[in-house]
Amino acid sequence: MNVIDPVAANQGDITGRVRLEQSEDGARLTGWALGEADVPGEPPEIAIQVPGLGLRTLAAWPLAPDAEALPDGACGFTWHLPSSVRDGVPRELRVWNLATGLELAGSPIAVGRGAAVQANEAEAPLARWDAPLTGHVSAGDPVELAPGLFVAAEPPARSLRYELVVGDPMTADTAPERGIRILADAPSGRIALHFPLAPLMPTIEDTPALLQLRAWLPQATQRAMQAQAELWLMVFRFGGFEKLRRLRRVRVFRRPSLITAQITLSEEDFAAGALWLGVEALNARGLAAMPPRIVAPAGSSAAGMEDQRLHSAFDALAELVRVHGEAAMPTHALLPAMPPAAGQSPCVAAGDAHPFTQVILPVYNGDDIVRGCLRALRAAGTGPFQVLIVDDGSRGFTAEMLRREVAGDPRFILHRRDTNRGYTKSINEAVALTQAPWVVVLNSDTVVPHGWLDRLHAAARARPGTGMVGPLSNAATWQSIPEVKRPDGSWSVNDMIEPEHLDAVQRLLDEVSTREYPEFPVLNGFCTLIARTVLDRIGAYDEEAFPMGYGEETDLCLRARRAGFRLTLADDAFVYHHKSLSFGAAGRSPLTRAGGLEMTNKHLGVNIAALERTMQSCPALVRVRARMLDRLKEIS
Amino acid sequence: MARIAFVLPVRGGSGGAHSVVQEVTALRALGVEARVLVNRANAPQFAAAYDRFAWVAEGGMGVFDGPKDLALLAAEAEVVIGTTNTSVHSISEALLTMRNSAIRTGYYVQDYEPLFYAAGTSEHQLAVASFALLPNCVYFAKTSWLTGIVQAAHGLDAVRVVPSIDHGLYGPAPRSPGRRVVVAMVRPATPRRAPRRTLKLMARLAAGEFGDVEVVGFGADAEEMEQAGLVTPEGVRMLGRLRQQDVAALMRAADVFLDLSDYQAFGRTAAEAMACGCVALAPRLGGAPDFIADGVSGFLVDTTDADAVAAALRSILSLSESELRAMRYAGLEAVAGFTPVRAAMSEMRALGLA
Repeated sequence: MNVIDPVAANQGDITGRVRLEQSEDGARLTGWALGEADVPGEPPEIAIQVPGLGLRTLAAWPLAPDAEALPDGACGFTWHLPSSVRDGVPRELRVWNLATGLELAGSPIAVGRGAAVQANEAEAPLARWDAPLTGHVSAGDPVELAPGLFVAAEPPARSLRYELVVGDPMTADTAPERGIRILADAPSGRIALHFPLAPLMPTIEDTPALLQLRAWLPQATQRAMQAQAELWLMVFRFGGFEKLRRLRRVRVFRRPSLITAQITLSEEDFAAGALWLGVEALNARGLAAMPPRIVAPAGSSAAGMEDQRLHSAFDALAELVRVHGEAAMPTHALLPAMPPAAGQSPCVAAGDAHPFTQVILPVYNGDDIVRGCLRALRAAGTGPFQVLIVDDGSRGFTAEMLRREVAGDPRFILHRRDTNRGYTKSINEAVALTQAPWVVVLNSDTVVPHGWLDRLHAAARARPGTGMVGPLSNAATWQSIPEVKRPDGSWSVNDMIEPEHLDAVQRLLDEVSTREYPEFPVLNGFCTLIARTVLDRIGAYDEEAFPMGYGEETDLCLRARRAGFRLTLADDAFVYHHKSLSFGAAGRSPLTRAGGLEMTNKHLGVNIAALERTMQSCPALVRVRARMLDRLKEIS
Repeated sequence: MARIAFVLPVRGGSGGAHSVVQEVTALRALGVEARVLVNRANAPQFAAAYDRFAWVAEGGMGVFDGPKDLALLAAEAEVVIGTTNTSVHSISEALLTMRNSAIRTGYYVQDYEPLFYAAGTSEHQLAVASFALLPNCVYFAKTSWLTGIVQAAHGLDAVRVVPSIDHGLYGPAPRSPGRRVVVAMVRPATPRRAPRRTLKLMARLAAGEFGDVEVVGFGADAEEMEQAGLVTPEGVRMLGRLRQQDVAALMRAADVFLDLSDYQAFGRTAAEAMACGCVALAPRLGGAPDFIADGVSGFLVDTTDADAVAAALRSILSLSESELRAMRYAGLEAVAGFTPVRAAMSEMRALGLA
């Protein structure tokens, strides 16, 4: 898609222009802007003021010379509206060129219902939801959960748990849309959801129409999970449902997929009574779906690929290629020419200073180790930072210790929940409370050295397009130094390194690191610097698939790489990580342990073993480890 | 000798099915006990399509109905090979019904099938999942584009094997001098084969924009054209659906073959045209660069760029007789090695059997 609006270029004092675009993956602001006149070629920063969410900044990128209708030196930018801005609440966004200090032409931009948010035309039944958001009903005959929604399941299932779903649970990247998720207490021969077709009638009465809905399985219990599913045209009469005809047989997966069926209604159909669509999963434990809608058939095009399906199919292929190769690849010899992937650069500060960074520190009990983490954070800061401690329902003495430790230091903010919600939810809650252009998600069993944030940001600066950065550690799987694994194949925690050795290890790393800042396919989640633009673009951690953790950080990494953000290793930064000796059972990787089934199902086609091989053979890290071991031998 | 089973749940007739059948024939000639396993619904048509191969009626074709059936047939083989994404799912389901199976698996990737469907659809997910199902599977494909895609998208090593075409059918013949003949295939039901783009260019050719040439199309009958809302341009001779031998005869009489598909994982028809002595113009995106050196043994083009296509066509049609002959010879030589025996040998090597 062309991000540039040539209209109004070269007009008066305009130093940039912005507009709102709707795309398949949501809404976004795109435009162009000129840099400072006395620094030719330097892309300007763009600031976006979002009421209620603060200021977002992003760097524009130089445009190809063929953007003819634009002034010389014009740079492009794109900002995907995060789901928090696509909640239907009317807002006015203002966009500024920070190089010139001028507001862009086209700003302010109104977003809200009817603008950025596209209502699902068939949402009416679920919009009038008057049942609890979650609950249980008996399996058996169809039960009306809410006006316009029935569920049913054949034995041996006896009980169904239902839950209202908002948005696409696997991508966190679509406009708000409501669906329903049902999970039975046992596998059912047929588990069904019935949606009325009445809201779609005006568009399907006369001609064959394409009916489309999104359906998925609510739980991963095996690799490449799938079930047979059927779409039925049904009629509701005499107080019950009757099947008129089967429209389609398809497969449903853990990840939502679009199911399309052509529907042509006859006079007899209309005379039969109120028409409904039945979605049934066979021999499945559950089913989830969004209401059906009418879509236009995939067409052919005179320009570009004639098969219109190839655009999205090649995009999906490019995502997989980014995950297994270079995330920010501009082109690939095996693929057709593609637009820039992420299309937006995270904010980086000029010179050595790092931009304001908020550190999210989830805490659940623990005393001395957490205290050590807090004290190290206080002593290690060299630039603008703030620590948001998320106390996820710790016991009294931990809560009291936290209050004592942070009292009087405005850089530390304590956010406490009285009940434990689980790791993923508490981090997401904290992410929503932050506004800085960069956040760090840091485990509370870590100890950071002086200047740690400078080093992480230096890695982001060194490799343009970086969206996430991770440091090295004594115990961080493939980021561990000097040893990765023990002789028995389990993950090493390098227990010769103690917290009090931290400064010495960092000095040693300063000496042996060549600062190559290699790109990594996945980062260990113990300490990760994340650009706001990444969270805005791909959403936060996935609470639905990984409520208790165990895979949520890998999932975020893969989603970031799919979107074209680089993951960079700060190979000159060391963060100490306490780990119990039970960490890393022999022969198993955290990537393939608990949560692995959700992960592999969510990222079908991604070869985790291949990503592990890439991390294992990373030449820059192999060199750092070898040099470090050599130096340690010299010292000893 | 080794026992290899190709799971081929299709009716037959497509280029991919032809090549598997030819390669099974060659494998059997080499002493390998190779079979095809066809699902019951397609078995009668498949048997009819390939009744000229004696082995089809002599136990070389197994018929299955569901995963348990397939498991019983698979248990008789050392290696079971999927040839389409759905056949890989069938093999996976069959393996789940077997206990302690020592059967090895292979995936003959004949196209990158996720490209057949819009992203996010159930069919797309099914095709992507086919690369995550088979344990210790040997992936092989006939072009470096396909092996590269499998590696780049899924981190899976894939072995490049030799493609095969039927040289008994597709071979050169002396051409009579005179008006040049340009042939193109029109596939209305397969949008990635770009029927509209192809017809548009055929119309320009027939109108004389590129000189005095005869323009012939094949691949679609009048009813198919009408259903797809397509019209045969004035001056174009549309021959409808042709049998393989008629395609070969047409190619032998033609000078230029146009394949303007969005991409081609292999480019079988272009290779067959070259084996008949035609000069082929094929998409740069995909597998054709393996056997077409641009401007030497044929032409490669970004088919989505109408100007580039027109320029390449002008280049072809401006070739002198001797230049055209040289290009013909280069094309013939480029595909001469695509024999079923070489294909079979390369597959055995990929599977570690030779």
